[in-house]
Amino acid sequence: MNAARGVRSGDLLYPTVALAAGIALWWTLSVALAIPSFLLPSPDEVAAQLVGNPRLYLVNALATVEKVVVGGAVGTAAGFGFGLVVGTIPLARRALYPYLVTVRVLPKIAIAPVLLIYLGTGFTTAVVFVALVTFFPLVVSTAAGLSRTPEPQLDLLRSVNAGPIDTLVRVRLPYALPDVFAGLKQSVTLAVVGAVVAEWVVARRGLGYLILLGMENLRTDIMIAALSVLVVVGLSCYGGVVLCQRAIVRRFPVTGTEP
Amino acid sequence: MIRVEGLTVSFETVTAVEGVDLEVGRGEFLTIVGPSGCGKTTLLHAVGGLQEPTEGRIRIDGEPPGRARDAGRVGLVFQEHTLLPWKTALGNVTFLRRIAGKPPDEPGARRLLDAVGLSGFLEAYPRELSGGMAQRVAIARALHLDADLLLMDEPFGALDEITRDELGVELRDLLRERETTVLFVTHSVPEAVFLGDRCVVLRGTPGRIEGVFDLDLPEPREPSLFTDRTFQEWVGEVRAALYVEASPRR
Repeated sequence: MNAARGVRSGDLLYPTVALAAGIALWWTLSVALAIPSFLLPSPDEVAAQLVGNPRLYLVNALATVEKVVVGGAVGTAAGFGFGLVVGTIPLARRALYPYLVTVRVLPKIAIAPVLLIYLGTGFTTAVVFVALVTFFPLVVSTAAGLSRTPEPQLDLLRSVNAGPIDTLVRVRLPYALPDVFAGLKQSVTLAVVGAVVAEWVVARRGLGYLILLGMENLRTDIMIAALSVLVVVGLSCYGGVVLCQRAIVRRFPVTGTEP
Repeated sequence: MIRVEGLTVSFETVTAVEGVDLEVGRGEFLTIVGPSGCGKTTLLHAVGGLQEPTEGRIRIDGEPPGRARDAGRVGLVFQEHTLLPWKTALGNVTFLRRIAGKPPDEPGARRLLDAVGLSGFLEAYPRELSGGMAQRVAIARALHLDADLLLMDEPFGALDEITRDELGVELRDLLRERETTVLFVTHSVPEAVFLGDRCVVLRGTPGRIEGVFDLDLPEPREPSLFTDRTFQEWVGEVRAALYVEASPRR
């Protein structure tokens, strides 16, 4: 109960200790077993790589963030819009919902080569791919969220002849917000995955590309450094959505559905 | 004011009510009591214009229920309070009136919340209110529509018995003052007898009217009535109509 609200003293301490222990173990292993650094670089080598080339990592991180943000914005906006259609027009829901659920079993990553043929090997392909990956979770969650309004509430609105726009914007959407944010959290995670995959396939920049480059040149230090930056990028994007959610949930607290 | 003639409402697989005739006068407090699944809610929805009759017709002051609904004359109160969790008590009361397209009247909303004993809770959110308080807000919200027809579907069904009795006494006074016509659906026979000017027993599947009782009990209805002998006799009679006499099958 309290853990969800406030930060207890151990909440920060224990994970930090665990992280330090992990790095220490890694260090010991790479030194004690004398593993060659092209197989497993020691933590200080990775750190040196990061600190020694700040521009390299910054530029490539920004390239990845750009794809996540642009593709994610397009994909989630389109997904939200489409979710509104599916959630409010019964015919659309009945016709399309089965497919939206079915599409979930398709690994969207498998679409990347297809996009490559249609859109070429540019920035657009990467953005469209990220958009595609983020699109579906938001459609499903928005449509599902719109059905959360209690039936008596809708009867009440009908009894005063509430217009469809009022009903949607003032009642059904606020009730849908927890689901929409659940979808957004899924989307943002997938967006980072999507951006990295896109960079493997088409890009000449970005953290995904850097990892690939590191692999081709047997530079594990670059790969691990890029991976650590990727963790930071992923966490920041996710954190952004969480902050956004907190701000909005404060205005529209729907009981029992707090994060 | 309300005239129901030969009302039958059927859904795809079931008929909810069949052959219901009913007249309700202006300012009358009519209670409808019956077991689950006897079509009480369907009857209420039909009168409120939320459900089209399959057969028969309903007139409110000579016009179809849809007209009364469009004019914002119909207020609804459910078993669940259906307050919006992100709006305060006052916000909930004024919101529905605004959605109904009526001119805002915040002082009126404050007076109503005061009348239902919530003057200290105007800015409270539903999660901060007890079940009884939330239901009071819901009643104030319905009255704030300036509705002269109030349809109440087991409004006290989720409350404990003491809260329920208290609220019943207050509600009745408040509504008589305003000359609001009330259709009040309940599972509880004592509640139906205590509150009603008349009480209708609905029974069976599909639901038919089993009996209508003119409850000539002393006014104003006060809690002392619960131990009154006449009151007890009426409860007995209504119970008999509900449980004992088999309804003649047509």
